[in-house]
Amino acid sequence: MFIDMILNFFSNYLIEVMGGMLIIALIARFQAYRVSKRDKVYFFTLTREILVTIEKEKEQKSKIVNVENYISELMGRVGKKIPNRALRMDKRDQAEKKETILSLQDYVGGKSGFLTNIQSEASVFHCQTPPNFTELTHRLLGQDEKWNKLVGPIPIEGVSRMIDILPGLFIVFGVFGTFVGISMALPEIANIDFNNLESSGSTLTKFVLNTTFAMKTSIAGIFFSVILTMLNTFSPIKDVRGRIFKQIETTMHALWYHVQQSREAENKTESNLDRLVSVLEKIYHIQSLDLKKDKAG
Amino acid sequence: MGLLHVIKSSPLFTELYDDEIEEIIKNCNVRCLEANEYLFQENDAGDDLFIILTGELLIIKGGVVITKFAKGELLGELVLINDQQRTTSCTANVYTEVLILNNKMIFGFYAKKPRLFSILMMNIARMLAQRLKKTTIEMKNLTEQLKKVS
Repeated sequence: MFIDMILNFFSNYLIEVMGGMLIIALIARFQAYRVSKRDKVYFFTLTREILVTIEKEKEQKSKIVNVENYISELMGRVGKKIPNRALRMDKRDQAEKKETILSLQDYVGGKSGFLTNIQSEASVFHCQTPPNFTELTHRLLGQDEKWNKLVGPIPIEGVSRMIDILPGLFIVFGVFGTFVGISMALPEIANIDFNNLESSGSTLTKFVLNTTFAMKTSIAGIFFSVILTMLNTFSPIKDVRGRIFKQIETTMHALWYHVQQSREAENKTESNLDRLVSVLEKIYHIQSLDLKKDKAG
Repeated sequence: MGLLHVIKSSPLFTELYDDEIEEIIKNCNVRCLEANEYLFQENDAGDDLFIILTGELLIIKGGVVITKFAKGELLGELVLINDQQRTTSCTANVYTEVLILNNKMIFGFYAKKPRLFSILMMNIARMLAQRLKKTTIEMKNLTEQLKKVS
């Protein structure tokens, strides 16, 4: 009985359900792509500014005394150069605001949010062993709500995965519809009176209609699958996000090396001082021994 | 929220769960200060307390730097004890961002969530006791040094 219910529902509405899924998928896909492109502009601008600032620091050969303060200052300088409007804020948030005071939502979701995430990972730049930059980038982006969410609570990764599997799913629905159509058509054959085909006209009509339904669902499934596959091929969302991820990872790499190189001079000075102290101690010891010998002599 | 681990390190939020901290800070503002910019000056009226998100703040009295506050530290808590005139000046040593908590917002929790409010007050009391203890030790050291000099 339950199966009959399913068959009845899908025999009437399967193509409409598939059509609805396609429309929702296209809207979600468009939104996800738009968001990814916006994120690309933002993150590429941000990482470019960080790299340019690092290059300037290298030319000035400035030393880093306190890594946390340095990262904080660097992000502050970079933050000033990033445009405040348009990129990652909704239009209603773009009204003129005092830049010095932001709501916490704007701070976390706006340009400062990601920069604060980098500052919160400042301890990573202390280490002399290179960290796992992939994991670092995952952590940085994991804390960024605008990177993780499409609209409201809907996660962009989930939507992206769903869109990736939908072409296959449409084919499955098409095949399912074919089976539904055939399973509804075949019993009609039992009702056909082969001795009196004229009276079996309506039965034959039902048989043909159900078979047509079976074919239509397959055609619809293939057609919808082709549309989504073409879109996924020509404008893939994962590629855009992958490039952003790589760019951030490379920038963190460059920042870590810059911090280590600027601290190296300090480390060398410290080790040279230690050596100097130990040499002076040896000289003092030798001299004191000589003095004792002289006194004894 | 990415800021949570910075804010959680503040002694004001000891023994509070993450969702409780998020509820406290969700309507707060963030102020950005350039190096050498004043957060507040001596005798200014104020009813905000601040948690440093990034950077460093200097506390100045009579042109002398008394102490420094670093990331995660809380200042201005005396406004919660009805002291709404600043007794010192505060300036940013480097580019600094501070989270602003309004005392009305904190006192609002007295009616809505008395448990949360009582934990906040307990934490404030602990912080003030710690600072008093630290000041007592410093006063003792200064007195001893003065005796040696004289």
